Amino acid sequence: MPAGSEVLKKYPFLRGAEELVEGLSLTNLSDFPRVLELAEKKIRYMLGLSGERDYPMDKRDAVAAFSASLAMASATGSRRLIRSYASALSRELEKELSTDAPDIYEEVAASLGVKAQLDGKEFKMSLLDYLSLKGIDNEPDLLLPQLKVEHGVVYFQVNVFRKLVSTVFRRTLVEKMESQMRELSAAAIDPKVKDAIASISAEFSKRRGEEVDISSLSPIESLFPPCVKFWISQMNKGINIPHQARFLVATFLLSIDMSVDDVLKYFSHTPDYDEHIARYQIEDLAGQRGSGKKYSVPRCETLRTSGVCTCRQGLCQHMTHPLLYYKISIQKRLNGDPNAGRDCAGSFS
Amino acid sequence: MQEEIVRAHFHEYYAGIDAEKLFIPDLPKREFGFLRPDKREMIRHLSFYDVSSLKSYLMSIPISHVYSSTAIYRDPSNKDMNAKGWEGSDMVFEFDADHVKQLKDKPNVRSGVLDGSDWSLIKDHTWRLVNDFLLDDFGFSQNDISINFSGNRGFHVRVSSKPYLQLSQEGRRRLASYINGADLDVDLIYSKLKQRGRAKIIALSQPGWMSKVAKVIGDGQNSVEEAIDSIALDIDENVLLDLHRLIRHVNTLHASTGMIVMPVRDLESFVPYEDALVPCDEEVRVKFGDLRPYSGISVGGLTLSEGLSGKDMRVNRSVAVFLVLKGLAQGNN
Repeated sequence: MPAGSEVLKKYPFLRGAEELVEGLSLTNLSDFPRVLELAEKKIRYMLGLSGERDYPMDKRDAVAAFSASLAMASATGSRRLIRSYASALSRELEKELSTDAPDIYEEVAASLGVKAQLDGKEFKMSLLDYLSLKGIDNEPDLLLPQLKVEHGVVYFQVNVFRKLVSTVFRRTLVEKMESQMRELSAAAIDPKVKDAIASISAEFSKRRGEEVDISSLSPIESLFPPCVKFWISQMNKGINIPHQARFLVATFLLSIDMSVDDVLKYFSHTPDYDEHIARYQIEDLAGQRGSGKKYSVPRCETLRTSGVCTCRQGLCQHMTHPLLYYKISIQKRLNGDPNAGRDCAGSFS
Repeated sequence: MQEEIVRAHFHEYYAGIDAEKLFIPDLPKREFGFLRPDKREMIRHLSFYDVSSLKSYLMSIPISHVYSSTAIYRDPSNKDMNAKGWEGSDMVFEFDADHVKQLKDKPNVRSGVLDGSDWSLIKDHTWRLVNDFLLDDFGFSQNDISINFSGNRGFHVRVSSKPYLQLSQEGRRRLASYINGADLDVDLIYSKLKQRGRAKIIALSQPGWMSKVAKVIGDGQNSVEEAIDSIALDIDENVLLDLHRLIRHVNTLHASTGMIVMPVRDLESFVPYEDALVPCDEEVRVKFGDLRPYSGISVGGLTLSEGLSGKDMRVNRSVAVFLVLKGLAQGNN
């Protein structure tokens, strides 16, 4: 049963909301000009492309505009835009929640699959439900040692719970939009909608700068992510490093378009170096052998799990992928930031 | 002669064991692995329908380390890990002396023979893991927790809780980081300590890490960092995170010590070098090696000392097996 009008206007993703907009898609969106207008304005406003905000008058428009805006953001095909939009919506949700009484949080959280109950002045959740949450590990305040934990129950102060809900919301949105992006067929988009999407995409790129094409640049070792720098420094000292760390270094260097020969040089100082074996393994990772599968650089989450992550400060606190760190650091350096790539600088030399 | 003593020790143990002692829940769904003492090749992807078939197998193979999976599978003997049909994994927290920072650099620990104070420390860590973290904080039921002596240098604490069987690696990592304090925000603790009056009292009594730290700091004798150091436990994170881990099977013999990988009911009174030795009345003759680094350590009632170095003596066979496998003695005719 959909929630009341005002609530849905604020939180258009609540359970049951989608029933209100069944049948709406990018194919027929231009049949609903008001929804298209609202969705376009919402994306522009949230991405900082326009200062104009338009508020839907009824819940149906609010839900439809929200749903359409996600589909439109997905259709830009830009992961960066999708993530920016999700982050902006997540910040907005945290702000909206702070203007509401905590009673509503439970319903909002439940819509995102977060099972928690208000208990006096705090929220509580079973430890198992907490451990099953995805995508919260980059937020230090949400990590277990910082929380009240007792007899299998985790407690959150209201402001921390808002952070939790908005963090899960961001992750949910990114997953949803990336999945829509993969499934979307360009042919199925109405031309009018396509124009709006193209315009948003162009303005976003212009505003944020073109995405750095890291493969076109010479490798800048000082801007490598701290984990890659750390493990390279260990190898330079002649230390044998764990398999997962070798995998990280090799896949990272290959993914910034270094040749197998150049990658090999990084491994040549390790005590167990055997060029024949190392070359075979690196060629395999590069997709030049066997199945032809090129291996991807592991995500930060995987690196943390396998104990290969070496830095959780500065930019790393917000990172999901080593390549993203490298891209952002290059962008920062291009913008003249002297601290680019200096996170956890003391841990390697 | 030496090999004969060890072989007889293993053979007689498995011949005499009540097969039921080899039982663990979901036994037919566990993968088993066997590793020869030279550790060259692991025979794995085996499964056993019941404890009798496991016992028969143990009697038929050469001396081996015996492992079973923390995981349960639909088809545990399938050699393709992806086709095994993973249904879930117990959580195992491993304490091994060579992973504990206060112990790992001690020469006797490095050569695998622990003294009384080493055991006290490991038992204390194990007890704190169970009591302070698993029961108090995580709320696991006592019935779901079992402690096994590893047969060599430490203990395995196993949590077999149905709702947690399918917990992801990410979730298990959060538990590990909680126990070893890796994700702890030290600045946050300092900021709470700086509060005054009622706010401070409330902050410091927050169950979990905050109250643990507050208790240790107490009268201000310890810094926050020292408090954290004394609370955090060095569990082997890899063991907990590995969903397909093989760990030593209960009531089998450790092939590097001849001791029993045994369940421990009362941790405080458990004395590994007495309680985990295979009961045996037979004595055999051994010639001791250099025992100086192990002076004062008692194994099965025999106190090792510098004076015994190089001497010939008849000792209990289980003690002899331990000393021979540890390289502290040679079997003698």
